[in-house]
Amino acid sequence: MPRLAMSDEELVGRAQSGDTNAFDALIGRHQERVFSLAFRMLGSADDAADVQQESFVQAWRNLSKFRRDAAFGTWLHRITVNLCLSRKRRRQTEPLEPHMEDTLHSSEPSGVACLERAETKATVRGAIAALPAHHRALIVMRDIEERPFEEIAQILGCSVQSARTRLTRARKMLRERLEPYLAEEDE
Amino acid sequence: MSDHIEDKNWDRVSKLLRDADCVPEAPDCRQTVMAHIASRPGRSPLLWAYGLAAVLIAVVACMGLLPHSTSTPPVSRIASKPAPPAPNIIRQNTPIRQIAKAAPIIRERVTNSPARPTNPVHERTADARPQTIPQTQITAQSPDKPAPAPIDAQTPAPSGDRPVAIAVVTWPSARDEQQDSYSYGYKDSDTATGKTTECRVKRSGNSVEIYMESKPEAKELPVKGSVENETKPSA
Repeated sequence: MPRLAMSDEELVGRAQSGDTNAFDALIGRHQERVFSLAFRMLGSADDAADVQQESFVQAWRNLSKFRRDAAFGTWLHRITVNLCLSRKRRRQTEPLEPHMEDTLHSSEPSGVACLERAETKATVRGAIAALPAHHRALIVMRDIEERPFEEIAQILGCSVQSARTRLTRARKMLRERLEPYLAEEDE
Repeated sequence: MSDHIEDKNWDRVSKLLRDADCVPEAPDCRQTVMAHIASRPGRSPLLWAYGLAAVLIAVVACMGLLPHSTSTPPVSRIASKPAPPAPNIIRQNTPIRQIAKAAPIIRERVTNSPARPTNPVHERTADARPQTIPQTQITAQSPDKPAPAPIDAQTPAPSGDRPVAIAVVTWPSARDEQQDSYSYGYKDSDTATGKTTECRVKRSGNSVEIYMESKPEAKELPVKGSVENETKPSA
């Protein structure tokens, strides 16, 4: 049976029995989402790449402990979020305006509109980056990646109700930070 | 979505968030991760085996060393230490060599606990006492000199101590000094004064303990039927 046709569960079963090729196939399937999550959490491509690698290495190390209560992807993203949170804890200084340069050098139409758009993005990214890491995780997973609350709760290791309550707080905090910009836009 | 309905302004924020979201292309980490994984599997069991081997070696070493350490006599350790010098007072007042020649003292090394003085005290008569140390011997028989005052009157003895009649100290031979703890001494009964003098010198490690005691002769119980033992008839 070709590996591409195998489900995650089958590949995980093979990987748990020591099949590194099966795990290689799992990496191929999940590495983009893991990187996106890490990048949105950390705001740095280098850090996100490090976390991406570390997530898969830890997943391989702890694969025997994976009981398949949740999907492999959910379990893997939980590892990723935990790594991001611990990395944020280690680094006290957080970038206030991440990937501003990326935005300015992106291949968008030039002119005033482009600059305004770039400024808006930078403001929003700055507001997200200024959030506490656990609030940022909720905003990223719910409002950007649009994951269901059940999955978010599994990733964060909390109840669905708790995830909802935390998200409300995170949104309130983000809105307060974006309030001046929103008021300006209304005028 | 229900959580969006709760916040009427949130749709605008959500749109802003999606607009601002820009994720660079994800790098392919498969090679790096697989290289990590390939280097790991052999290491973990080996580390475990190394740890077990280290523990076993430590246990064997401890089992081998413990009996050895208890059975080793402390001779070599003690031999390197010089014997402590004798106290000045005793060294000046007692001609050590002469005493040793005149009255060889039988020594017995204490091999048990130093707190228990098991060395026998040798009984000697007053005649056998060395005659070469008249300075330290307190006698009342000297015809030339007036009889010395009792030792109690000359030097007030500290409370609890008894007057010392004689002190004879000899130092051990080089062979004895190599022992960790030893003691020797003698006891003599002076027929003239009726005093019993006991002297012991005990060395333990770096400390020297000198014990000297002079007791009056024990009064014998009166013989039954003698005058002293006679009981007065009740009136």
